[in-house]
Amino acid sequence: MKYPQLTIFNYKIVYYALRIFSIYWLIDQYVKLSALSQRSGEIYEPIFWLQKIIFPEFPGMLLSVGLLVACGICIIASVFRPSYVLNILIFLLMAIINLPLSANFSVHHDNHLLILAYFLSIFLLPRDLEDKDYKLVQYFYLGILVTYSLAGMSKFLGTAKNIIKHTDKLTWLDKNAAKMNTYDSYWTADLAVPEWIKEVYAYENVWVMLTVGGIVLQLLCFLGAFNRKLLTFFMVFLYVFHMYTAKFVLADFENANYLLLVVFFPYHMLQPLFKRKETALA
Amino acid sequence: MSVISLVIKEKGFKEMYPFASWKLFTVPGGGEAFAERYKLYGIKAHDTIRILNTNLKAYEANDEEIIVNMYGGKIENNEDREIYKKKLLIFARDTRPEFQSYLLYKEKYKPDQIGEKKMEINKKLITKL
Repeated sequence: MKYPQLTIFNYKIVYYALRIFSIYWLIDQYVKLSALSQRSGEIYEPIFWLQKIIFPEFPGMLLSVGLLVACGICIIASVFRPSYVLNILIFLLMAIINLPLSANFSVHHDNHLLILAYFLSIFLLPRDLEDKDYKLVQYFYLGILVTYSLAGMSKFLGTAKNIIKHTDKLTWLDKNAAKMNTYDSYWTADLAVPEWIKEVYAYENVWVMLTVGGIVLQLLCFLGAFNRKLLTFFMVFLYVFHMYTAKFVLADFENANYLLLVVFFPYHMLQPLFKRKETALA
Repeated sequence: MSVISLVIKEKGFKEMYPFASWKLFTVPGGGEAFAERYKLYGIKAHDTIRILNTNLKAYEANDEEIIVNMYGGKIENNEDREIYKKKLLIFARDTRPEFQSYLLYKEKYKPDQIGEKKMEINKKLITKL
């Protein structure tokens, strides 16, 4: 398959894979909402003004379940009858469900990519897409990847600012920057740094290279939108990066990580497996 | 976008983009000479015990840290102090009901001493709950 054809092929699978993953996501949100609903009602601090209007109080389970079921129905319906209206509804419902979970006291970003993926693919219906439309899929990829490129860019700017201003702040170029970042995360979580992590950080110079290399790769993520091999490479890179943050910075991006696999997986590479089976059957 | 956001924040305005997740760790955590955090201490039968964050059903350890820091900051800066004192007490009773009363401290520490054998922590009593 050529690149345009292959990109459309992959997106058509992504459309359905994303919806299967979304059902799992809804169940996961149910578990989280029911855990948080056990807090005393006063312990809820909405962040956004719109959120204060929609959820002045933490939603009760009846409302939560209602929203989750409505979203689930839209997702299942969109599998059988893909439409713009359903996609918009899914996007809005997910964004609303996410509010009390991710914008309570502080903003969590684990669900950000999934909601963004629905927003960017509102007009991408699998039946309407032809090979010549591959550029639309590229924008979809780009919109998701640019999140990471901006993260890399802000680290570059943050580092440049501190160097130019001669602040005594640690920058990512310093020896032990990654180590300090890890140690402080463990300290504020009241946890002891595991021995194996201490041992890994003993290689100071290696970590300088890893950190700088990681930031450069993060900055370059957007390139994955235009080349299939690079996209697979960045999918693996981001997966490893999120595994690192989960273990070393205690910042868990579990749903974001699943989403990366669902959306960027090179499904076309599985095709020969199916073909072989077909010929064997014939 | 990163440039615009940096300029806006440097000028003293608030972040505009609600999904500023890409700004996480612009500089490494623990990168300053001193760091501060608020911490709850529980009083039980004349013993004062420093309360450690743990994972509970309704509160993950990370959430506890964020909640204590947010309410602690509001109380120290006198922003609706009484309201937030009440809320912090509700939170403390929710998570650590075994104590009779609670103390809110601000701890100042040097991040580069984390993991060392000796670590100096400067404590300042903010209020009693």
